Amino acid sequence: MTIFALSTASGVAGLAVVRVSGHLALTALKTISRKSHFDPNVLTKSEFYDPESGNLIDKGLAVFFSKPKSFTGEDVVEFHVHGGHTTVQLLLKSLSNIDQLRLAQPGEFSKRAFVNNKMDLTAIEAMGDLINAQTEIQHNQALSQMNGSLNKLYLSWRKSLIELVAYLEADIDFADEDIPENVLNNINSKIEKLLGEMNEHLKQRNQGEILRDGYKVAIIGSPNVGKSSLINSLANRDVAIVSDREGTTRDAIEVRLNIAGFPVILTDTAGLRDTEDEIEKKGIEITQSKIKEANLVLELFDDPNDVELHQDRLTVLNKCDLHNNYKKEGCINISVSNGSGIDNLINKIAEHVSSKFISYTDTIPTKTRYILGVQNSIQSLLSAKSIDLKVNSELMVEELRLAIQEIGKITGHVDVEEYLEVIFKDFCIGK
Amino acid sequence: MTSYDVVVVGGGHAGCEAATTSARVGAKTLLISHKFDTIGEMSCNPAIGGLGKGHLVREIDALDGIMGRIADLSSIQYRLLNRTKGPAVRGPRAQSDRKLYKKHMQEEIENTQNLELLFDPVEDLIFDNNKQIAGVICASGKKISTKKVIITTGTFLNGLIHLGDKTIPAGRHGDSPSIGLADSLYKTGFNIGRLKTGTPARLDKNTIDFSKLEKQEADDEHSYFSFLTTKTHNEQLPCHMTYTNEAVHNIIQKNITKSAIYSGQISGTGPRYCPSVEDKVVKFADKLRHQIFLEPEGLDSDLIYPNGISTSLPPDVQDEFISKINGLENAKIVRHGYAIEYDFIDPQELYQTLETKKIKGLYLAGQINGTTGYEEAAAQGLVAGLNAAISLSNKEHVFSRNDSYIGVMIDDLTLKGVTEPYRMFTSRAEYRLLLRADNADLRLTEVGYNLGLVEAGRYEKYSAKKIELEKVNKIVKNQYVTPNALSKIGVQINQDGKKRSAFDLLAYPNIDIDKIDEIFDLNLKQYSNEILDQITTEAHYKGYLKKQESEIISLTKEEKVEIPPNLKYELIPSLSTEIIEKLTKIKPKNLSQASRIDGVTPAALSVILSYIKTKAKSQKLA
Repeated sequence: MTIFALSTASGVAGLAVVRVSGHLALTALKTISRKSHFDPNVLTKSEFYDPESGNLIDKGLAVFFSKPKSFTGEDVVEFHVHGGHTTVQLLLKSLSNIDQLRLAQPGEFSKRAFVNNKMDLTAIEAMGDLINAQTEIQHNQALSQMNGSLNKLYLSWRKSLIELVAYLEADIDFADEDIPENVLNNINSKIEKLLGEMNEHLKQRNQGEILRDGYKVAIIGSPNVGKSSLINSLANRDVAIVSDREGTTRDAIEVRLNIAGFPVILTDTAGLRDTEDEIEKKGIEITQSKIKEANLVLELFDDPNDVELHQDRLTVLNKCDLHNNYKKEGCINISVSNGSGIDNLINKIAEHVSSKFISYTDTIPTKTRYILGVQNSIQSLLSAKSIDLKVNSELMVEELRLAIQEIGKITGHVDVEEYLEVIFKDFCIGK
Repeated sequence: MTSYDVVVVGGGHAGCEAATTSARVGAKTLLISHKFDTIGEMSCNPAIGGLGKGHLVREIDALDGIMGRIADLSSIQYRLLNRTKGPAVRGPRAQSDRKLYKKHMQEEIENTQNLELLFDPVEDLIFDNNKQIAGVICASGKKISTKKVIITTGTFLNGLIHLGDKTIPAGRHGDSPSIGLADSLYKTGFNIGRLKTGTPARLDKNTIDFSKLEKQEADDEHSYFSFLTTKTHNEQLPCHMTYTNEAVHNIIQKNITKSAIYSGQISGTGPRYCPSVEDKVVKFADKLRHQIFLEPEGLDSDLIYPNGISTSLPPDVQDEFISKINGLENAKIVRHGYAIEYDFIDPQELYQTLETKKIKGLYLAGQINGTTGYEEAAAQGLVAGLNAAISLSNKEHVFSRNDSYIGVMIDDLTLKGVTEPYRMFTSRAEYRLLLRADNADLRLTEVGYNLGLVEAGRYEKYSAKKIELEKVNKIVKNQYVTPNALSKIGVQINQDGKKRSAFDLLAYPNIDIDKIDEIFDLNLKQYSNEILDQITTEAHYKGYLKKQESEIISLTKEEKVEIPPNLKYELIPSLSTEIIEKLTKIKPKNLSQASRIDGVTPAALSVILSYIKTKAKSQKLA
């Protein structure tokens, strides 16, 4: 079946693009344009007609991508028309009237790209991330992942693992051939090296989480020190663009900001103090858990005499406009009411979040399933390492195969022919 | 016109196993060959078994096939490969006495009930009005009526021998190819491929100086192929080892253009694991020497098979390089080596019963399907013989990847096809820890018995073993001990307070049956080694076997999702043209088979699955 769909957002706009994919894509274009020839990859001016009524739908542009050099790997056609509601509806109706054409289901274009090996899973997921990216760093990460940075890393591990299995298998299956004795020499050190790389990769999971869910800053402090006002003030700065804002029923307000390209989530919490009040106790419990979850805790005071410095917190003193001596060493001194020091505070937050990305690479495990896959793979490699390969190399193979499967689940699958290929390439086998 | 239930064409390893299997199941069977004398011929090296191959022989034997018993009767050197490695990857192998092998095979064939022999080359197939098999016509003009024909004619399709620049049309050396039958197969429109294989020169034993060479003796303890064999029948002979060297490599390099393989005369693909000596020298130029096994051809034979130097170089070059090999300086060449090129029928043309998809009643087994090796051929013969015979009562039996190497091989062949001669390796079996040579009977004998393949005597022996095994299993699984008690008698394990059974303890590398007897006072030593080894192995692999079993469960789930035989893949959304073509050609029976076809991605599978499901649902509603 050939499928089609509106690829741009629905609603009134200057332009709209309707995409068609499948073996009848070009036929559809020819039918609707009444032109008999289109060069591939050339945007061509054309008129579009409803084949049933013969009425003109629009004048626009069309382009044809010949398979396999297209997004889906099939023949693809794009109609670029004016973005009016009726124009698009008429075009979609005309397409659906052509035999063996139907409206695409959600995600079906990507699915075809995957089925036709145009994109691996990590690339498709990255494409989703790219579309949804709200900050520059998220955008960069998604883009490099879509271009295969992560896929390349996982494939390189898979390749090393396949090579290890192949060497072990050569030693097993060609026991009566003269396989070089040193074949098994470096197996353990190679496993060790892979483990190192995988653990290093997992260390960046925090970065992945930050990119996915945002860098969490919990703002704590006694009641009435100005926590809510601070959040409002931060949210209204030009440097900190509010991208989303949601309040909860009880006591925490969350504000999503874009600071230095990173997604940052500020959370207001209930004040911390000893209390017998049940409801307030509940609030404090929530605060405690917010502190635990947070990447950074911002503690706000309004009296220099109350200030207690915590090494792992950002200590902020508010209301420094009240007195000249309202300043304290080790604190960030601000005034929410006149705005002094706020830019400095934003810079400090930016410093903290960027410090997490000092060893930033473009291969961050951005999805939980990548992390799980790598963790399982590590488990298998640890088991493999503990096996005596002189006695039970077949069990080591089992563990390594599991590791390959886990990595394979992230990107694709594996076939025994791949082991055999390595064996025959590297050893002279055969009597 | 004489009439048979099943006619087997060809008397090689596939043909013999096919004919005896069919006869064993009770079908009136006829084996047709050129001449009696070539029945049971070992046309390549005089050995049976090895890694993967030995597993196949054990499985054939567990199904009461003949290869294992014949191999035991003719063995002149038993060796269990990988003896020091884990039990799953140990493969029994034996050098065979070529004459004895043939003699015992011929006796077996002659004495098989329901099996008759005819020596009159088959010239053509007879079809009925529905294009189904109706019989065969022989060279003499004799017509035989039958509904099932199994063709096991090896390399006879367009076979061409290359000896240097000389080419001779032939099957095996000295046999003439049957043109009529070949034409018939070509006309059917099967997808045909071309392969090559080679053989080394044969040497006169009396002209070799063995005193300079490394000796390889038989094992002290013999691992038999057959579950029924209880003793070694023949004297055991050693093999000798020698190596190629720089002088040999230089001669080969200098004459490389004279080799049929390198002159471009040969177009077929050779096996990567059995390269000619030319290939070895060219492709692994940095290797200083290549190993050669000098294998005896028999107890009273004067021939030596130098395994490792198969070649298609001209005779004078063979003379020259062989004389430069240590120990072979004065060796007399009795027959020169040669390469043979032949056509094979793409096994994707076959169902897993080995019946062709194009012609009902026609089965193919052995080298004609693109495989190499006696064991692979015999295993296919068994599958084809069984299915041809039981199809007469509209039954079929397909072995699975999770019950046997036989299943792995048939599945590989029919779903993936071949690009080089297919040989079995243990690494092809994903459930290798489960599919061991030692438990072939436990996996298959019961199945074989229910199919009418296994005769009463063997089944009784098997049942007795199984009962004893269950008994000992119960004993070791119901005896517990605490780590604390163990440490008191000097056995150190993790002091976690967890009780362990005798079975659990057997998994520890430092605890064997003797130790278990010492700890629990069970007197396990009274049971046979076969039983105790089995239990030790199961204990050893316990955790892994559980994992493999759970994998098998998910495999079985996919196997249960049947794909309708006439499914129109082109109607399924999102499938690429390439995948549609493959699936339409191979016609997988279920989702599991589809998943093993090259290029069929998990995403494609999910699309097929959802299509089948929605279709089934809409049919239910309608």
